[in-house]
Amino acid sequence: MGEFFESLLGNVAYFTWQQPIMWLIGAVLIYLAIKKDMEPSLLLPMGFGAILVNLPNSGAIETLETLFMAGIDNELFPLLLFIGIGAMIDFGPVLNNPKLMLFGAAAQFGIFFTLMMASVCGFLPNDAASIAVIGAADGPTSIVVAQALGSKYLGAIMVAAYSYMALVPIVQPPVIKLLTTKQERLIRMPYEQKNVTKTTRILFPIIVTMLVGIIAPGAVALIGFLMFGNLLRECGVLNSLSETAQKVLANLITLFLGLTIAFRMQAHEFLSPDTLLIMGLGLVAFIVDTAGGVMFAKVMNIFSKKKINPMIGACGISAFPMSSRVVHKMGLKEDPQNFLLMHTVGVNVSGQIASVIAGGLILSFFM
Amino acid sequence: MKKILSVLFLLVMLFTAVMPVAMAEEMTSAAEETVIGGADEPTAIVVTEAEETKEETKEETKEETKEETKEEKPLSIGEAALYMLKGMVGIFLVTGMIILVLVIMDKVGNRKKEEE
Repeated sequence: MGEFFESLLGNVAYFTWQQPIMWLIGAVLIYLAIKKDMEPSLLLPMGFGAILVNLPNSGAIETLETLFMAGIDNELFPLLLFIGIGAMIDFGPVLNNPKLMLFGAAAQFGIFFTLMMASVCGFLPNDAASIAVIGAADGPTSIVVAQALGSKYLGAIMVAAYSYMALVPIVQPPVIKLLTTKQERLIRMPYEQKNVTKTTRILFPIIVTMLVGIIAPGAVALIGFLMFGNLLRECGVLNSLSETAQKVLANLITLFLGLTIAFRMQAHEFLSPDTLLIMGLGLVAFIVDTAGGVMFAKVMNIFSKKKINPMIGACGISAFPMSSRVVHKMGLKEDPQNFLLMHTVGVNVSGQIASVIAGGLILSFFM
Repeated sequence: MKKILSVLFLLVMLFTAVMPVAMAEEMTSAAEETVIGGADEPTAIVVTEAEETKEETKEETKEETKEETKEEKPLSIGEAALYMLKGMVGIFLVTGMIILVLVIMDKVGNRKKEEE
């Protein structure tokens, strides 16, 4: 009888005090995904995976390790996901008003500021750079950079990146309000619809890939897969492939990505003061990104005849399409007749491109 | 648009002014670290020679860089600030070039329409 219970409950002896904490973290992620609808497609698998790998002698670890080696260690999953994301994005608003891309560039300031802060906190260059890319507000870019630089904090970086992306509606508005006056928030920006030709739409992904590739070769894979997805969308002759990339491919990869990331959420790796520090630095990255975009818009207003509502600068953070919705709603709240949506979407997709460029530059600097 | 282009031009100038200095510093320090990083002399010599002749494969470089990175110390504030400057200038440079191409494409498209 004793032997029977010993064989049945023997595994209990392998419990560590950190494992229940990881279950709690997993449960919080699942709660946020289901109850608060915060990035559920990623936080839910990550939360469940966190529980899965933190059971004593978990048999899932080997399976997840196989998935990790097959899909993340070689950066395959995030890159394939980028094809789907590229196929989903309509770059029309940027092509309509190209100067919106400047805001996307300005809002990457948080990445480099965080690099400085992480270095001050004592992180080694590869880890500091990987942590900084949380500010790209772009999961696949964060994974690719952290993995390529061999950072040991991949799990914490992913949790921070996806959590803050989901928290954009909470993080951004106070920063925007702090940096703008009521008058500035009321600035109206009429939208002038131009006819963007199909040729421009087709040439755009090709030209962007070539330009980025020449200057930041580290970003070629990232930007190339993103733009390939967009080319599928815009070419007009591969609609079924475009739809597959947008739905089937993106969903499949997302499904595996969240679970696989959990391989790096084992208690002995994840539970450390560094994780808390990374969460803090991630928040700094998002705040400074937002501030960078807003401040750049304010500087542009000094030179520009047509005044720009500085709130739209905050959308350069990437986090598509959450950030554009947040700022659009803020504009409507200030003035119900002020429709900023097309501008915010334009800046937001510019941020998507700029964040990939920033990731590529970081790779060029540190690889 | 003229103002934007002039600002971009200034950024390009800044970039060209900063990059050579930064790259020279980086290359010198990378070369030093390669030699010092080798545990034994033959390794250091081989690595240095390979760097000089630029015959390393990409995989080897990646592995060596990872090994070196592990031995590195955190960046100083000055170094991090330099990376920040290089990064922001780089992003604006790429973005500026994309905008420029889009503006040119737009003008060419408009001219064709007018001709039609």
